Amino acid sequence: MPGKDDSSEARYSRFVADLRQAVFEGPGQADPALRRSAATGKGLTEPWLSYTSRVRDAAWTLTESDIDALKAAGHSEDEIFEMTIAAALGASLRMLDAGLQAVRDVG
Amino acid sequence: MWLDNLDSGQRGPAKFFLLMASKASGAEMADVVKTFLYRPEFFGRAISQLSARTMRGPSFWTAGEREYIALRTAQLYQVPYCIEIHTEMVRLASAGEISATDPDKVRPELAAVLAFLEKAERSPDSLSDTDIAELRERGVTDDAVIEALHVAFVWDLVDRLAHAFGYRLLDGQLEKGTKALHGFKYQLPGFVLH
Repeated sequence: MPGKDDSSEARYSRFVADLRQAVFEGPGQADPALRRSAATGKGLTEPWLSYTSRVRDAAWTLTESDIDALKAAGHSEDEIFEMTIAAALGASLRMLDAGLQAVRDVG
Repeated sequence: MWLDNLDSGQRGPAKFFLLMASKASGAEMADVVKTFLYRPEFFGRAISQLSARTMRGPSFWTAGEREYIALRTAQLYQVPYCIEIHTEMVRLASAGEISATDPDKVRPELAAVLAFLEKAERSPDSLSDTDIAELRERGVTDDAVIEALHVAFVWDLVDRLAHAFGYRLLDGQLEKGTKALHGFKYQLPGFVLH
C-alpha cells in the first residue's frame, strides 16, 4: 500500500515510475506531448489517432502494412517505435492503475 | 520484425550481447529481448528491471504460476508467439505445481486471481473494492493481488508490442532461447541497458 515501503506496490513503483518517465517525458524523436496523447488518443490527429487506437484496443488486427503506411506518411522507425510503446503503455497502465485503485479502496 | 531498427539498428553493446548469447544458447535471441535492447533508455532499461522483479523476485506466486499468468494474458490477447514461449516457460519454471496444459491443476488462489486479472484487462473501469474483498475471502492477500497485477501489466504491454512489431519465433528459439531467458531470470546485463 502507498507509504508502506515493504509492500509489493512499493517494490515495483519505482520501476513503473521510471517507465512512465522514460516513455512519456524522456528524450525521443516524437514530441513528449504527442507520446502522452498516444496513451489515450486524446488530441491526436491521423494517422496516429487510428494507429494508436488499434495498439490500445485491437492490437491483434495490426499488420506490417500498418507500419508501412506510417512510414509512407513520413514517420521514421524511431517515431513509430516510440508511439507504439507509448500507446501500449497507456493501455496497460489503465489496467494496472484500476487494479491498484481497487486495492486501495477496499481499505 | 517489421521495424528494421530492432534487428539491424542495435548499438555496439547490444550487438555484442546478442552475438554472445546466440552462440551460448545456440539460437538467435528472442524479438522481445531485441525490443528491450533497442534504445534502452527509452523503454528497455525500465521494463527489463520491472520484468525481472515481477517474474523472478519475491512473491506470493511461484515462478511457474507467474509464467502461467503471463500465458493466460497471451491467450487473452491472442498472441501465438507469447503463448508458445510462456507455455515452455511454465514447464521450465514450475516444480510440478502447475502445468500449462492442465488448468484444473491451479490452486484456488491462482484461479481466483486469474479471473480478477481477466476482468481488469477486459474492463478495467468495472473493478471495485468488492473484487478485492472477494479475493481476500478466497485467501489472496492484497500484496498477492498487487504482485499478480504487475505480472499481468508487463505482459499486457509486451503482448501488444508482439502484435505491433510482428514478433516471430525462429528455428530453435522456443527451446534454446526460452531456456536462456529462464537461465538469466529475465535480467539483462547492465552494460546493454546503459
